[in-house]
Parts: sequence; C-alpha cells; structure tokens
Amino acid sequence: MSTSINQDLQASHQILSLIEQAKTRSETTLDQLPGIYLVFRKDGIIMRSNEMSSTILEMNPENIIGTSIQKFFKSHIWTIFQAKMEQVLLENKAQEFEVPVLFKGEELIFYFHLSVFDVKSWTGLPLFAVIGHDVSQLRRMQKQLSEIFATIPLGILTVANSGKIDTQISSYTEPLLGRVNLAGLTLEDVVFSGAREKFNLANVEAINSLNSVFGQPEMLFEAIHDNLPQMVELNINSDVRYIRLTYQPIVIDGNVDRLLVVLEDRTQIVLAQIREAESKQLEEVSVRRILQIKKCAPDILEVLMEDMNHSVSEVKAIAESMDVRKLANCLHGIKGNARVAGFDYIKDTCHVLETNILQNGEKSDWNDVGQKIDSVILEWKEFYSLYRALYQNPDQQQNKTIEMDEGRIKKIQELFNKYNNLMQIGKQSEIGLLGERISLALRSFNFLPLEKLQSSIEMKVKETADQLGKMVKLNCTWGQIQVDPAVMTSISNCLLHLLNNAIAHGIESPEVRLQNGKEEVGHILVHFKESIGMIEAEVSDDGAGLDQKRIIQKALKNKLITIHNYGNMPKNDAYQLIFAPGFSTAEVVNDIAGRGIGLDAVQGSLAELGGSISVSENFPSGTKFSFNFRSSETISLDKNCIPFAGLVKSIQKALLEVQEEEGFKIGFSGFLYESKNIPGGLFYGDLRKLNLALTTYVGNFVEVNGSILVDLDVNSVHGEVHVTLKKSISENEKPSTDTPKRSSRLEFSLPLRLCEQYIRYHNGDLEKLSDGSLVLKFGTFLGPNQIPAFEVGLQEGIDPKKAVGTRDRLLEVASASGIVLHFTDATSRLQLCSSIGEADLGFMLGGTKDVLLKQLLRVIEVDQL
Amino acid sequence: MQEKEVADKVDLLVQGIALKRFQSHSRFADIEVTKLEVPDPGIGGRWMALILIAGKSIRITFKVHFHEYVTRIVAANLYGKKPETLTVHQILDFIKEFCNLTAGGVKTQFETSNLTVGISLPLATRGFDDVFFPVPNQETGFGTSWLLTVPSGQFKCSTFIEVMDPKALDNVSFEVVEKADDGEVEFL
Repeated sequence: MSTSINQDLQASHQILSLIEQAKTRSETTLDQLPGIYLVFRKDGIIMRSNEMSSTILEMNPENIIGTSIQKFFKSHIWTIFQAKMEQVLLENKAQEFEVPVLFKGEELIFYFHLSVFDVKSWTGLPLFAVIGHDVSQLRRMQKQLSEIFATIPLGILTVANSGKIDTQISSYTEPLLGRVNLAGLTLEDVVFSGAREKFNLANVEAINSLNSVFGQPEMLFEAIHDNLPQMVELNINSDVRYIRLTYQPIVIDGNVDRLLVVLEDRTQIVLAQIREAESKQLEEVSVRRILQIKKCAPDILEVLMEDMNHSVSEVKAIAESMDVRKLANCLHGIKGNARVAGFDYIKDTCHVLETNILQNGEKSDWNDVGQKIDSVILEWKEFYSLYRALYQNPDQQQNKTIEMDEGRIKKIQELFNKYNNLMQIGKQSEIGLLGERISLALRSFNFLPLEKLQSSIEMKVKETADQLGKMVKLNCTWGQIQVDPAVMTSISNCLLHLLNNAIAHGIESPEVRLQNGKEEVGHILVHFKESIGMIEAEVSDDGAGLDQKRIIQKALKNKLITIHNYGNMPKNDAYQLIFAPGFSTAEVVNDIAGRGIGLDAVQGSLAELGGSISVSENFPSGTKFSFNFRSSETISLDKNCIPFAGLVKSIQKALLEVQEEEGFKIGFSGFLYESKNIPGGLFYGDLRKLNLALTTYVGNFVEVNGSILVDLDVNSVHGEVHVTLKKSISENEKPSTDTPKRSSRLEFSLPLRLCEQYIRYHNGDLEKLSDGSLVLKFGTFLGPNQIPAFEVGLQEGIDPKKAVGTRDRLLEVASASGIVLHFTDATSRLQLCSSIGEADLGFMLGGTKDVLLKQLLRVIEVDQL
Repeated sequence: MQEKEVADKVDLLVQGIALKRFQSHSRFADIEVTKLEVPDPGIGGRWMALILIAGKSIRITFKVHFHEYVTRIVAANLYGKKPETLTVHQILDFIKEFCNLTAGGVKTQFETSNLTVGISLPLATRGFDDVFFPVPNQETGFGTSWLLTVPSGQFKCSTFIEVMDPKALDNVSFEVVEKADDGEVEFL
C-alpha cells in the first residue's frame, strides 16, 4: 500500500516537474522580452516585471517587485500615465501612446500598450499589463528624415485610386502650392484648375481620363501620360509660379494602384529663360538695327535721318487731323527715306498705311491707323537713338570705336547671318552648341569698355570737388576691360559713390592739407585689372583716412555692435562696419556723399555681381577701397549629378560635333582616348554649359595655335576634372614656320569671357602652363572611393519577393556608377517602397533602370553635393 | 470550538511547525517570526512555493513567497556549497522541501490525534501567480501571513485555512511536538 502511494507520488511529481519546467520556460520568455513588460496594481505597485524593466530602473529583478511604476516617469508624465489607466478602465479598451521614460537621467521615448490584466489582485484593485518599446532611435531617425525631406525642394504627393490626394505628402508640397490641407482634394483642385486656360485639348482629355486608369493595366496610363500637363503656371499668393509635374504610376500586380506626382518649382529657371529670351530678342533687334544703320553710307544717312526725324515728328498730328492726302504724303516721304536707309519695318508699315488710307479715305479705321503710326514712331525712336549714339556723341567716342573696326562689324554681320540661318533651320533648342556659341558671341559683342566711364566720372569728380572747395586730381587705369552693359551701370554707380565719399570725407581742404605737410591737391587713384573670371578694382585716396574712434561711436550708437564686443575689435574689422546697413547717417555722409547709393548698397550691388568690397588704410595716408566683381550678370545653371563615364561620353560627343562642324582636327588623350579604362565616380554640374565652354575653348585654341590635343583626367583629391588643351604631338615635333594667328572666328573668341564664368561656376579654374597648354579645371567630382555606401531596406509591408526585380536593377545601375548598396531587412532611410509613404528617398518598385539611377543620383546630390 | 477558533489554533500550529522545520532545514537557529496583522495581499517575492494539506474536516494551503538571492544564502548552508554556485533548480527544491516538511509536520500532528489528512506534492512557481488564487472567503476560510526573517532577508509565509468540521478537531493537540531531527533531507 505504502509502495503504491509512493509510486503515485513519484508519478505526480514527474508530471508537476514537467509542468514547472514548461512554466519556467514561458516565464523566462516573458523575462527576456526586448521592451518593458510589467503587471502592476492600480496604485502603481509592480507585481511582475522583466529584465529590461530592471535595467531601466537599475534595480535587481527581485527587488523591483513591490516598488512603484511611478519611478519610471517624471511626475507630470506619471499623471498622463494615470489618466491613460483611467481611460483603459473607462473604455474597457487597451490604450497605445508614447511617453518618455527616465533612464540614467535621460528621457527615452517609449511606445506603450496598456491594458487591463484579466485577474484582479486580492485587494480588489484592478491590475494592468503594460508592454513598452523604446522608440527613441526611431523618432530620432524620423526627425532626421523629416529634416532631410524639408531640405528637398520638391513637392511629392500620391493620388489614391479614389482620385483623392493621400495624407502622406512631402513637407515642401504645401508651401510650394501655397495652400494647406491638401489631403482629400483632387489634382484638379490643387493644380489643374488654376492653369486650365493654358491647356490644349489633349491635355484636358488626359486630365479627364486620369481617374479612369486606376485599377487598370499600366499601359492605359502610358497612353495618356504624354498628354498630361508637364508644366503648369499657377498664381500663388499673387505671384506667378511655374511648376513642373512628373507622374509615376504605382503599379501593383500590373495595375495602376496609385499615382505619384512630383512637383518641382521651376519659376526661377523659367523666368531666367524668359528674361534670357527677351534679352536675346532685344539684342537681336538692336544688332539688326545697328547693322541696318551701318549699311547706309554715313553722309547719306545724316541727311536721311534729319529728314525722317522731321517727318516723323509731324505724322502723329497729321493723322489726328484725319487729312488723308497730307497724311499719305507724309507717310510716303517717310517710306522713301526708310527704303534708302534700309529700315524695312518702317518702310513696310508706312506702305501698308499709305495704301490703306488712300483706299478708304476718311472711312479708314483711324484707331488702327493711330496704332500703326505709334509703332512706326517707336521704331523710329529706337533707330534715331542708335544713330545718335553711333554718330553724334560729342566726343565721338562710340563712333570712333565702331568705325575704327569695320572688319569687326563685318564679322559680326556674318555672325548674325549665321545665327539667323540656324534659327531658320530649326527651333532654338535644336540648334546645338554652335547656335548657343554664336548667341553668346552676339551677347558678348554688346560688352562695353569700362574706359567709357572716364569722361563722366572726371566731370562729376570735378563738380563735387568744386562744390566742396577741394582740389582733386583723378588718375584712372581701366585695363582695357569690357563688361556687360548692366554691369557697367552698376559699377558706374558704385564708383561714383566711392569717389564722392573720398572727396567728401577723405580728401582734406587745401588749407588743411598744407597745414599737414601735404600738397594742396588731393589724389584719387582708380585702378581696374582683370584676373581670370573676376575684375579687381581699387579706389584709393591720400586723404585723412578713416577715423576708427568715430566709426566705433557711430556703430555703438546705431547698435551695430555692443559695448562688450568692440573692445577687442581689430582696427581692420572696425573699418568694415561702415558697410553695415544703417551706418550711413548725416554725420558720416553729407549731401554729396549721401546721394545715390550707400556703402551697404555698394556692397550689395557688388555681391549681386558675385563680388565683394573691403576697406583699409592707404599707405602712407588715406583710405583704400578694394573690390571685385564679375564682368557679366549671374548665370543660371541647371546642375545634375551624372556618372563620370557619362561626362566623358558627353564631352567626346561635343568635341566630335565641333570637329565635324568646323573641320578641326582634334586629338584625344587621357580618358577621352582610353574610354575602356574610365573610372567610376560621379560628376555634378551643368553638362550643356560645360560642353559649350569646353568646345569654345577648343575652337579658340585651334584658331590660335593651329592644332590641338585634348586630354581628360581627374583629380580625386581635389574632386576636380581636368581638361588640358595642348598642341598635338605631331605639331610640336615638326618645327613650325607658321606664326599662330589670332582667331578670325568671333564665335570662338567673343564668348570666352562668359565661358570662363561657366567654368568658375563649377568651382573651377583655368591655368596656363608654361608650354602654352591651357588646363580647365572644374568640379564637383566624387571619386569611386568618395561615394558613400548606402543601406537599402524594404518598406514595411513590402513582400521581399516582389522587390527582387527592382533590387537587381538598382544593384546593376549602382554598380555601374561605382555606388555600393547594402540590402538589409531592417528599415533604412533608403527603401524599396510601393508608394512614397514615409520614404521620400525611396526607390519605387517597378522603376526602370533610368528612373532608379536618377533617384539614386538625386540621393547622392542631396547627401553629398 | 468555532471555525475561527480552530483556524487560529491551526495557524499557530503551522507557524510553529514551519519555524522548527525551517530552523532544522536551513541549519539557521536565529530566525524570527513576525506575524502580519493584516494579511498582506502583495507579492512577497519573485518566487512562490506552496503545498496543500487536505482532509474531510480541514483544508490548509501553505505558501511561501521568496526571493532567489535571499534563499541562495540560506540554501547554501544545507547544500554545503557556495551560494553563487547553486542553480535555480536547487533553490526552488530547497523551498519546496521546506513546504513538504512543514506539511508533513502538520499531517503527523493531526494523525497523532487520529485526524486523517493528506498532503499534496509541493509546487514552485512565480510569486506573481498568487493573483490567480481565489480571493479568500472570510466566512469559510481564514488567511494569515507572517514573515520568517533570516539575516539575508525574509520569507513571506501564508496559510489559508478552511474548516469544514470544527468538532472533528476537538481532540487534536495543537502543542507542537519536537520532531527528531534525522539530519536527512529528502528531495523527491
């Protein structure tokens, strides 16, 4: 009997041991949960915890039992936590929320799931179970990501298959469109409705069909894609904004599920293009008028112009009197003179008008007649002002400039005809580098010599000096520098201000000068010199110099500096305060020096020209302003990131193009020759402008030196690409008897100044070597070892099997560009994703190689360049 | 005797036996018993061991809540090993055996007075599992708690006593009988 009981007990013991082991395993699993796991009473007393909880509370896992969960939180957070407990009880529903948890004095953000534990404690108090995960890292990354998104100047949104915009949009979208709460609206509401007037029928049909492609095969979308508006002009907050639209369908199982729309603000570029086109048009018209004027013999022209001037001044009054015969006579006279002078527009318009009024008599449409006469008068005024500028300048300066180079005029005429022919062949966008080069050359033709300022400056200096009772001698050296007319105006204003300033505040009165042991005449020196791409200048005087104490007093008074930071201010830094906005006051700038623009505006004007200004003491006495600026207006570039191999190929193509067009013989060297050994790496820049600059330099080099070898290399350390132009070896080897001739083709010499700027705008430089070679250096280049490796993950919810194709294509394009990608299962900043979701920097599933490469390059552009 | 009177006496009996068994089991003489005036509903330790003593007239649940680190020092005495070398399994076995000895002592005391009861096998589990035990009904059952305090810490013991037939316990001697210490510890 006893033995049987013992056996029963043994058996029961074994069963219990097994159950105990199983229970212990389960408990151990709970203990090792990665986040916080706690069961606690309503009063906060912990009854069950896990290891992570012990770590955070820095308590032994056994002692944590019986302590309060309140220890995890700051007091106000505990209040929130208690409120959540109440909510759980009230709604009988688990709550999920994020609150900070204290850990070693720092706050970590935890995501909590709080629920009621289904058993009550003996006291009757409810028990709660909470699971918490540390999401601090995630939130930090989200913040970083948001910051990155905020820096991407693109609007990105997705349209759901309902036709409504999803809630997930990039942060730039709303400011770009000038409105908020876009989610739930349609593309029509947000983009198209404001621009409908400019859509053609095909656009309208494509927009109307857009909603019907959702849920349909991708090919249906492709059918309408080309007709969807690619650019819209919107009025946003009373400004015109040009927005480029890019559409990318998000395809799931072969059908269009959603539509990704990328909006890019092209306003500045479009406006720059419009300005450039207007400027070109004006230049073309001006050049045409000049050429027409120059075609006519000066002695005949003089008579014709005066005669026409007389007739044109009367024609308006005659037209208003509606005296048909008298008006016809007058128009006839103008027409005859215009014919002789070669002014075609005036001639043709007068002819039409004459015919019209002679046919219709008093029944003529007098409004129309009046408008046409106005256009004749306007055209005449343009001609007449040009004529006066060319032939009637009092000192004959301009006249002399043009007349003394008749050969140049002829060449410009040839250039202009060549350009016109190109324009007639095709659209401007299709005329290639040659057309652009000629256009640049024509633009450069308008450049004016700085020396033109001499007489007006001298006159104004004398006037100011006389007015202030001072004796001044001005000495100018202009360095044969030519600048864009717009730059000329800015520099003239800046110069005038600096000279007035020097006379008013620098140069002392003759008496004071004599007392100080100086000669009674003050000297002002204006000196310009050109270095590569920049013009440097100095305006110096031998006057009293800057008064550091007065400058500091003024700066303190105007709160430009504080009492605390002026004490240690070096003298030279104190001088620069005179450029601060608000520094100029009546005490410092009198009525003469205060006219026009202030020193802060001088600084601003020079900054707009890419330059800067500083002031220093002049030796042995006086003040010296040193400044620099670019010779033409700011150039707009369309920079992109491209594989280095693409750059090489593009340069090769452009060189072959110029070789074929011009009949040059260009030898290739370096990577241009060894195209199989082109290294990886990425280049960032405006390819078109660079090719234009390179081919222009090549053309000029050939014209001057007769032969050329073009070498292309990279300097990974400086992140530069080097293109070296040198005489080809065969030419160097044979003794040359021919003296190289200056370029006879203006399209290769005139635009050099602007091309040089294109190089400089690419962080570039030019270097002339002692053997006559010219090295063009430009960046920004990232060598294969400098391209960062990226980690690419899968967006949550994406089936890895569905991403295989995209991943392989992405790897292929990355590898071809020397970019290393690591694929990971974890969430990364770069993701393969089905929609824009939370990953603006993601790669769209189903994207073609081209699209994926562009996305990849954009990431690098944003990250590295 | 009324149920409450019986329960109080049984409770004292269990306390006395538990103290003596713990002293002999742990080889610690200096052990204090502190009764908790109000039964403590909290979890007294990360672990808990329990045993049931049951007959027709009475049913006693004896539970011990304990911490591993406290028990490790006490058990090391018995095992003759360094505390840190003991496994969790050994520690749990130690307390389970203590429950077994206590329940065995009660059973022996009852059977001396011809009251037959049986005892279950001891069981060790997490202290938190106490919340799954039914809340004591104050009319049919009586719960008490007390602390066994050793130099390294405390063990919270509790009894839950249900008296079905108080008269059956009229002849039971509640005087704790000293049990001859045979120096053997039997682990099942």
